[in-house]
Amino acid sequence: MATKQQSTPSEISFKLVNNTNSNILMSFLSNPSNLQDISNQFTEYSWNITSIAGNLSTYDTIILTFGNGSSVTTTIQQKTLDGIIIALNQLGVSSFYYDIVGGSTFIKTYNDVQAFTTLEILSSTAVTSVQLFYSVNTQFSSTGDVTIDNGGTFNTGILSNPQSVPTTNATSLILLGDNISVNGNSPTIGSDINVGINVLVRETIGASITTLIDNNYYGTFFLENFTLSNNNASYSVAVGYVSLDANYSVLTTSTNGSVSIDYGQPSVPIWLNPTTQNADYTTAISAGQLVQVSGVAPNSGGVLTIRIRIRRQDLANGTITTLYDNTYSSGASFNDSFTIALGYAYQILVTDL
Amino acid sequence: MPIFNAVVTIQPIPAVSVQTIGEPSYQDIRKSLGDFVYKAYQVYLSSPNLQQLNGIVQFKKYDVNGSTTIFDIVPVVSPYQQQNTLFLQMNRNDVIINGQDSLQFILLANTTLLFKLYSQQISKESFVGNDGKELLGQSNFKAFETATGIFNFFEDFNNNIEWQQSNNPLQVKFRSN
Repeated sequence: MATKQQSTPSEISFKLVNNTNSNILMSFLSNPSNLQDISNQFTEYSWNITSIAGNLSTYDTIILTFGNGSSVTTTIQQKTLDGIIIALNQLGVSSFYYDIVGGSTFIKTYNDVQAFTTLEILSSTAVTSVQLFYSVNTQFSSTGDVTIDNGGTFNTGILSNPQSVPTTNATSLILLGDNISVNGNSPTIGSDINVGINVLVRETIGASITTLIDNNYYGTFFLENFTLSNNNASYSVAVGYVSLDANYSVLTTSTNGSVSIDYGQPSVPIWLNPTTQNADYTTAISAGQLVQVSGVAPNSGGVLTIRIRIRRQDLANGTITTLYDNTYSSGASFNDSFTIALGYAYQILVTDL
Repeated sequence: MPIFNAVVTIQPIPAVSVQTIGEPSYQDIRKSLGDFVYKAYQVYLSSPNLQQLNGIVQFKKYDVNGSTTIFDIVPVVSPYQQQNTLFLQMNRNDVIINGQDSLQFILLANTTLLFKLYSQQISKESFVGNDGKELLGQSNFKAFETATGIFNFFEDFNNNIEWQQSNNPLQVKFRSN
């Protein structure tokens, strides 16, 4: 006779509610030692990983530290947010999920039993992958010089103007954390009127490009510094001449008279009134170029007065200075001229009064 | 290498709440697993979110040796069904909920799921007789003696037992008071 065993039919109903905006791995109907069952728990742990959320492809390892200081390591197989969650959940120490709130990305879990402190997400293979590129283009200057260096292994030496160094990879000469110096002398105003010096430093991480330095110098010593601070970033240093900026606008309604703007082009047009003209002549000029705004004021029919305004803006501080604001009437001839100088943008406006 | 510090907050509501309909509570059921064992043969699922019923359920078993066995229970929702409910038959005989296992599945965001477990429950009580004539459990020992033909098997059950080691360390004998 066998020992009698009895079983009874059982019918248990559970109501499960996910109160979050994220899908959560449920580990259901196990004994209380199962830390992965996070139901009915109130202690939330949240890690803001927004800074790397857009660039997860380079990370393959997670180190999760517990409240007692010990830690566990897991490997990311799928380099996405879902992959991070899968990797964390494989640890079996809680049920993790991610939450995106207002553009910020959080890894979260709830656990009243197990405490957590830090979450480290790292790349085990690419310990240092910072890159540095530089280029110099000062072909239109005959004075001044440029030096780029890290104070040690990387030093371009003094590159005297005019200079043309194509984009050069200096990655093998630098390390993450190096401080890079870009210094020298910008072209001397007066003796070298062609260009100033522009120092442009950019940091690229994935698809994100950040301009660290974008400064112009005219006739002075210049010194810029930046640090190769971000792993997996690419840094570019471009030293080049400063572009000038110039444009004109002519709008007259009189039935006679004329306007002409001569900035050294081979054939200078004479526009008979009424006329409408707009152009950007930046690329056609260089520093030292004489620009002449000339013509004849109208003497009959419609508006008889023409107004010539010529302004320039200091690119260093934004200050706008009016060089000319003249009116000419009744057939008077006019010729307002100025010379393009370094570090300024120019604008010519010709209108009826 | 980015290191992120945890922000710890005590929230007023849990991320996931599990409640039973009536008593005992879910926490009590979890604590009693092992003493109470459930052999599942059917699960009823109901959710306003039909997609929730489609997810694969993993049954994860492990033993004291650390061996883990995982098998999938795949719900099949008819594309023509109107109700957001599903009876999930356990076609395997080893879906036994004893505490050393768990049902794993994804609970979708902002989703409610009614999970009704139909099972045979076995407890310690199930292993002792209850013929309604004697006190619970006593007749089972008698039945055992009758079945084995060894009477008074439990005669010394409550006596102290001393171990006496003879010259041969493999030989031990009992001495009762």
